Amino acid sequence: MAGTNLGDEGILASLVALAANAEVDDIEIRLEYNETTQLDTLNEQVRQQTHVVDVGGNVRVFRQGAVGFVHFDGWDHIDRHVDEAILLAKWADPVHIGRRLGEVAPVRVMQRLKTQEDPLSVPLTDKVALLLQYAELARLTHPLIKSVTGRYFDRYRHLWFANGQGSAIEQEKLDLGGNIVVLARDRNEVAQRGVSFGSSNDFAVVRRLHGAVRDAAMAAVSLLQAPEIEGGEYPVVVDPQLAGVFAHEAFGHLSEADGQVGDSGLLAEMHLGRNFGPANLHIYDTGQDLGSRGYLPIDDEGVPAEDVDLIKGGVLVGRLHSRETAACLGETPTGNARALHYRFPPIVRMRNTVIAPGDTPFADLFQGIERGIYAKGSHGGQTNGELFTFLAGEAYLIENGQITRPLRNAVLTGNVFSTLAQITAIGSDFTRYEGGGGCGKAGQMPLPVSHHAPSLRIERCLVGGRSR
Amino acid sequence: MRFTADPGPLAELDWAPGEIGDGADQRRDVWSVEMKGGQTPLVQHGSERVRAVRMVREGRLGFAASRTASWRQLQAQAADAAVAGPETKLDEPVLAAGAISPGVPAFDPAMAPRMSLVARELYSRLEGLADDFRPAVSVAYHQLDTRLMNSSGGKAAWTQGYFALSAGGRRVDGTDFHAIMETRVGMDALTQAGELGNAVAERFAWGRRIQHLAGGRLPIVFLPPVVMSVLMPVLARLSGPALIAGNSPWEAQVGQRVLSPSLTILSDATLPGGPRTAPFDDEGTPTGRWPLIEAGELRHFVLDRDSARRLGHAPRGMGYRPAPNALPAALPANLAIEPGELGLAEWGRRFPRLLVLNGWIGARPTNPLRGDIAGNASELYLMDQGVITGRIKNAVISLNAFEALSQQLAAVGLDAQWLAQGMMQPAPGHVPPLLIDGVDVSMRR
Repeated sequence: MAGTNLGDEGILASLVALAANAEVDDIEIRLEYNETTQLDTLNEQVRQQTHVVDVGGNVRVFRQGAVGFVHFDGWDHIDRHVDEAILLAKWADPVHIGRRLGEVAPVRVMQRLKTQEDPLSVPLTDKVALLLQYAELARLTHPLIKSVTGRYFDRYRHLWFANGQGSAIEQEKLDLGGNIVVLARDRNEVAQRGVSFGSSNDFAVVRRLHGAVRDAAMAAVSLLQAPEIEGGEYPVVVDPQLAGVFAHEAFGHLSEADGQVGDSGLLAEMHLGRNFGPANLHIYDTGQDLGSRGYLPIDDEGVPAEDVDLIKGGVLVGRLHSRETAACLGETPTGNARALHYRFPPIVRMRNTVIAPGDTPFADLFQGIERGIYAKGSHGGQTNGELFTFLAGEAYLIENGQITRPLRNAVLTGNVFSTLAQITAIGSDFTRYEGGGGCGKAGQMPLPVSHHAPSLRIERCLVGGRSR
Repeated sequence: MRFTADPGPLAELDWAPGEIGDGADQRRDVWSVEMKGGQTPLVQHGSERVRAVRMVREGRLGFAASRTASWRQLQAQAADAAVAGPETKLDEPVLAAGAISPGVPAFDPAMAPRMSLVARELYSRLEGLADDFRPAVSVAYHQLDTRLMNSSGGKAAWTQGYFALSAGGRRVDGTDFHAIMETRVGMDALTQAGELGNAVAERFAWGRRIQHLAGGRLPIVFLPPVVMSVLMPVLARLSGPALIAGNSPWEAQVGQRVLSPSLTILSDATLPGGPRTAPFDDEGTPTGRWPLIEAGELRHFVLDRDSARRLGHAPRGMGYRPAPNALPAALPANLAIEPGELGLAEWGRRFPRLLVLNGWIGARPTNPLRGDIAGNASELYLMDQGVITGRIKNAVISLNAFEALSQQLAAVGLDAQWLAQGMMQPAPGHVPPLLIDGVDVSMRR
């Protein structure tokens, strides 16, 4: 179905007409055709394979200081859904009559997929064979590897969007990803390590995992007998993957303006021009990195992507916006309004959050550390704005500037505001890491995002762990 | 180009002799009102209708799901998928023909204005807590209508529904964030709006003063939202996939003591007002109230029909879809802990100093089967001599879930609270606070 004859101009024309005739302050109408393939394997067996087609849409209206939102399956009676959205908006009890949305010029565009190796043209049997091949490889790597799970998905989306400003957009999108998780077990001791992958345009990323799977198997085995980290403050060196998660969790979420509007305390703290880190720290968010999972040339409010500098020269210079938050703060929409799919309204989200490379060679990041932690890879993270926690995939003790032995259960935590100031070196080893997970916010998970970064050295990072 | 959401009647499914399978038609509706400081109030209604067909052919499982395809199309797709599908031991429950269980009454959309009013009143109440408090309120009704028909001729239909009321907010003072969120779930949740507002106000008052702590090993009361974090490793060891993969250290421990004797954990589909309270699970297996851990002893695993048959157990109604268009997986109904006898006030009298934890950022185990968890305490209060004296900042709480729920568990609380399933929580919970002694608390300087 993908890439075939869904390009019916009548679809967009009918949405534009509906949007133009609605008696509201603004309106967005979205239709989607989504096709998802998912595979799950356990060792040499397929555990689950699904191919699901989702067709539906939503209507969001802004009326006298309230929003009505309706989502629906199928494409029937869209005019009735418009009426229902208006009715819902009337039921709200507005508290900010007259609120406006940020102005954007109407966008009229048809955007087709640009793939390298198109996953939709790869037979399902080949995808299964690859996952099973990795399982075999991991199990051959070490006899203590007891199980290997594989997960793969690809998701094709075809979207039609019209709004009350006259925008009419047809887009194709692609997202693929997954992971290979290797579990080692020795009597009652278990340890696991994973390899994650993702792309928005190239199935070939799934074909290049052999070395990473072998490394994961050996890492899992080495973690079996590793002692638990002793909790406390350490100087920490994080690899590019974890540094990217750090940028996302520790700062990116704080930059999302929907968390700032209406919060006088936070707006005072997040004033542009505030010093936030070392002078060579540059963090930005971009939707224009073709091939990354955060690639988003036009957001889900029809706003073209901007590169948004968040911290430049160590100073806070920007934030991420939807049309509503931009209007509220008198700033410009940045193309960061995203919805997981048609069953959600767009909210402010990151795309590809990037820490620009520094100039410290990797080996020099460890200089002078008497006792510290080297943390690699990520099992994810979480933030509440002030605090962040991220789970490292692997951790090693640093003694006298040298990596000495593995440790388990590395959970790095901190205060966003103070930790950014504790970055004392930025590596020159910039890496475009793409994982197969995603970001969760307000029930919308997993949203495809990316984070590209170099290694970082952070002083005085609090590492969770039980005391001796 | 048109796609319709009407697939025709479920009875169109036609099973050949010897074929095993089922068709499920689920319609989910959610009505909600959301108000958050600085944002435009949002009223929404979402409707999803997903049809799914499972089919076993020559021992392999085929699955197809769609929101628009007809039953015949789905059945053909499932048959195609079965050719290269996973091996399965799936069978189908025997259902009395036409087992109709109306469950809760259907939602009346005329309730939406009342939901809006409740949201507005709660919001106003929270706005009054402080000029710089940013309130957030959500009122929602979730309804799930299920119709199921299987290859043995069994039919079932039922409706589940519940209100979910959330209220809280955040106050930022410099770089100090005090964030609070409380939730009430159940058919009577709207009537609890006043009590919910009081609870948020009380916690806001608790947190106005910052207290200092040296860290160490301390007794901590885990309030229900963080109890679920401690239960996730237990669920991992009990789940069918981990057992089949040979990864669970509990695979041969049925009947043996694995946790504290004061702990009974259940998969309970009979609790009134619960999100998964229903006569059947998503596979049509009759549900019930099944102890997973009873007085510390392992009684039952969490198994869907396929994993139950593979492991030689009887299915107990623990097959639920993680997402509307996903295959049912091994998950509990409502994950419940049998309440104890004492509450926070009594514990405060018995322990001269207690910590009370209600927010635990990133508290997910790096390895669920092993159970080590550490995370930032985002909402941690200090209780001295039975009185909450303030909020503790800059603390990281670390434990091993299995040690915490065996050697370190000091008491199980009296007041269980509903928790809806969410992004990190695959099952709804009905759990009381737990008092866990000797928990590691590390402090940032």
